[in-house]
Amino acid sequence: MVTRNSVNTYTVPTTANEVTMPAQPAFLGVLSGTDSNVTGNGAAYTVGTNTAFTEIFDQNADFNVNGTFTAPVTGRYMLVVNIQMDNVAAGMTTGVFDIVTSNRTYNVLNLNPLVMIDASTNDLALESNAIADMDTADTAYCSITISGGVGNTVDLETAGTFFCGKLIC
Amino acid sequence: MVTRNSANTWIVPTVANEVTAPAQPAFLAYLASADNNVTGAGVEYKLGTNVALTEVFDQNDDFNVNGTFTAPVTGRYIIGGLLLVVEIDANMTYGFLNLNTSNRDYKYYLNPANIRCLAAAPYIGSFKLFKIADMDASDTFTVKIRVDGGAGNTADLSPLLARISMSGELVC
Repeated sequence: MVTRNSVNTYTVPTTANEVTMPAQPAFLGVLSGTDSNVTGNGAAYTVGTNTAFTEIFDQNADFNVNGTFTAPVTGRYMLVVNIQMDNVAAGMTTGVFDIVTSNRTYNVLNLNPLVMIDASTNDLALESNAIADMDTADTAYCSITISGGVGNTVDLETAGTFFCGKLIC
Repeated sequence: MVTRNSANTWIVPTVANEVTAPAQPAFLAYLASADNNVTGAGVEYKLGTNVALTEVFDQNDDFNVNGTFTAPVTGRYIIGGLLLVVEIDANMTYGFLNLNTSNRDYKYYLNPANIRCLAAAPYIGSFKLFKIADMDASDTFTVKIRVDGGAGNTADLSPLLARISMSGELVC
């Protein structure tokens, strides 16, 4: 028998036996506006630093709009990040994309952004994820580093930049 | 009322109603040392074959460090692979990452020479794919990589920052 409190608010099955967990740590933050000139010439940028995220949902209130998620309990977490870049310019041939947790860094993408852009808009959207071991009070955030350009002129676009995660077990 | 055993070891809510499941099948393993010359001229290489993986966690003990996860029960599993390939030559223009399960293959095709980072020799590129897969009890999951078009199987898998990993979890 699963018991913790008498009202059982942590698993909520429907009459059709679909199960929701309204108190389970889960969050989705989207960039609140264009974040301009963050990388391109080697600057490692933590997404959310200059332009905050807007929370779509934040069950259990563990996400800070500066881009940091703090694990409330030790467990395994699914973390997903999507970043849409604009103004990817000549010379920007190295891209490194990390999910950084207290226990380890997940270097989720290494690629050449210049050859992957939409040639008509110079836009590029990338997604990646990790199943991460996190201890209580550990943190997670996303970092992007584009190198090879003449300046840090790459922007992050609100439409396609988000960070989400969930405690899975 | 949720019941399976009287000790309730399979689902553990906290006082704040966060739910953990310490016995739920879930694993994460990574390559801790270099695995060189594994593909490049058409070899489809299974991660973990020559260099064993290192487990970060393996709830329920279903993962073998030779790179094989065996489903303990029929269900839906999140499975994923992330590979960092080094020494991608300019003529290695065909390749895929394969999440190989007993029921089916999940393949992500790309042109390795096109995505490699040109300013950071020795030319590196990432392959990654996550899927929700149907697996039956005793089915297996492995991660395979194939790069083709090169003069030899000279592409390496790099252990830098634990950038090569595979993971999975029973979701329902």
